[in-house]
Amino acid sequence: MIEDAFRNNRELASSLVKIIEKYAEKIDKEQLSGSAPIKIMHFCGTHEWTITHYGLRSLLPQNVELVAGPGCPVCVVPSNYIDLSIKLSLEGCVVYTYGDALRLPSNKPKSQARSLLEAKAVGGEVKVVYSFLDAVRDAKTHSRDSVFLGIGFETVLPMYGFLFHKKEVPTNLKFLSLVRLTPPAMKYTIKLYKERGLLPIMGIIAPGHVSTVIGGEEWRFLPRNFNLPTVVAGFEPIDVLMSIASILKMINDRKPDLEIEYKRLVKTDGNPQMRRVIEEVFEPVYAAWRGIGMIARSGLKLRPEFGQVYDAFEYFGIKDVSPSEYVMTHAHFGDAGSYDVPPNCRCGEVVLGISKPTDCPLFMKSCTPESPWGPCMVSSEGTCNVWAKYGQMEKIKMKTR
Amino acid sequence: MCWGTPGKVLEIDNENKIAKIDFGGVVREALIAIDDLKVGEFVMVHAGVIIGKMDSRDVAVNLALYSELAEMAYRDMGLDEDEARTKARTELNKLFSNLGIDPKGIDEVKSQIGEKEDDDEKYSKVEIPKNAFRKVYRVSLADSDY
Repeated sequence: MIEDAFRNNRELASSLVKIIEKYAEKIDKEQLSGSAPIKIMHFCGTHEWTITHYGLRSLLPQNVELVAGPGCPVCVVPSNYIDLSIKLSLEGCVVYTYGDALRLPSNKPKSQARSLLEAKAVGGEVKVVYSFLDAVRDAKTHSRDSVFLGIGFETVLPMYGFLFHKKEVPTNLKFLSLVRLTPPAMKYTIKLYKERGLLPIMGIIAPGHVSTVIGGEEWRFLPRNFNLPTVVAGFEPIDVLMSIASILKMINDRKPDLEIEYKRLVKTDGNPQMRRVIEEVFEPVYAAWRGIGMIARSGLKLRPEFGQVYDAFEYFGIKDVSPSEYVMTHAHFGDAGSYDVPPNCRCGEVVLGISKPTDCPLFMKSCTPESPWGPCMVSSEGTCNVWAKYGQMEKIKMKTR
Repeated sequence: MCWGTPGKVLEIDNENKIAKIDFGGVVREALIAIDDLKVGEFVMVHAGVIIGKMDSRDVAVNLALYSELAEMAYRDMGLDEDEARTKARTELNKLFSNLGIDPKGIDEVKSQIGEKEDDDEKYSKVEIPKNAFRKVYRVSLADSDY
């Protein structure tokens, strides 16, 4: 039924496109007078997937531009953690990871193991799991040192929080917290756009599933502090079209507000019970985002009572990157050193929506989904990967009526 | 990492908070992160966590939201209030009948959304616009200094 309503619903799509066209024309005439496109940023990589896979850009009028934001948790894992997990795996420690992160490249030259997959090929112990639960169950079957790469946004936190809280995790399984929080990154991106004087973003499509945990209200700062119309959207094509229509309506009325389009899952306060558990287990810290920089209170770390048993940083004696150590600038504009993205890769810009994947000199040349050079080409949510797989759809002008 | 997979609940182990979910043939276990889950319900699963459940009412609510957007859009395009409402309502009726939802329940669905949101005592309402869908809530975001 959901498919019929939100995916294969041609009728609804065409009436939404009509509404979008009308509003875009009106805004262009009354507010912009043809000077700039209406730029709408979607945070989530899965939104980019929906938009590109279903060719939604080809349905939109020319002056509406959709830009992908930093919503790919795999793409933003700093490369030093990948190097670290490769090293651990080669030293005999079992590394559990999501399949997404298996091929994530570090900045090493091609002669060395650049990803966990390559480490596995040369004898490293790497196990792909579907969830933390699987890793916990597997770690219980042996007593060897093992580490779980805790990648993800807020959506995976209930799992981590719950299992730690229930003391289900065996002590030989350590946790490398690479959890990143989405609202701080969104705020950082918008501020960066303002500071750099880039073409302003006029509306935000906020992530739907993240909001099921943190609550739609967490995005209230966007309309309140930045005057940006914000819609928490679902991941079917109709959801995205609907949120674009509502953003355009808010721009037209000049009344930026927060709306929840994903009514079937998202509540204003999210999942309070799980939020409480997460708060008991984790605390916010400064965190590095690959290609973006250091963002305050954007990462989570285990609280000391759990950390002294499970924190991989403490157990393996790893020194975490301090804010001053991390190169604050953008990979392209400063000397990124060993951090951030590999040479010539423009993932930093792509992640922030400043460049399109096609602007990158490596895109589909030396960087392809089969052999990714930069981080955005790896995950199914990475903008480059999505464009590489489904990008041709953009060239087809679809007939809606 | 917003990739969610919808599935159907087959079995529930309330003690360990684990449920068996059928993803169109593939059965996997997932952690229950929501309240009152029952066997046979449809849920959204994300990286092994059940983050929400869905039913036809929720779909109806979502579509009703479209109808309201369309109504306002038609008004902005120059139709008068009654015409816009009738047009949007006709569209919604058609959508509902295509999907096999009883169109008679539209008003009920709309009023239920209002009630559901009113239950949240945590939020103090600042303003109540005419439109049930456009209620604005203010939350004290004490920790919003990202």
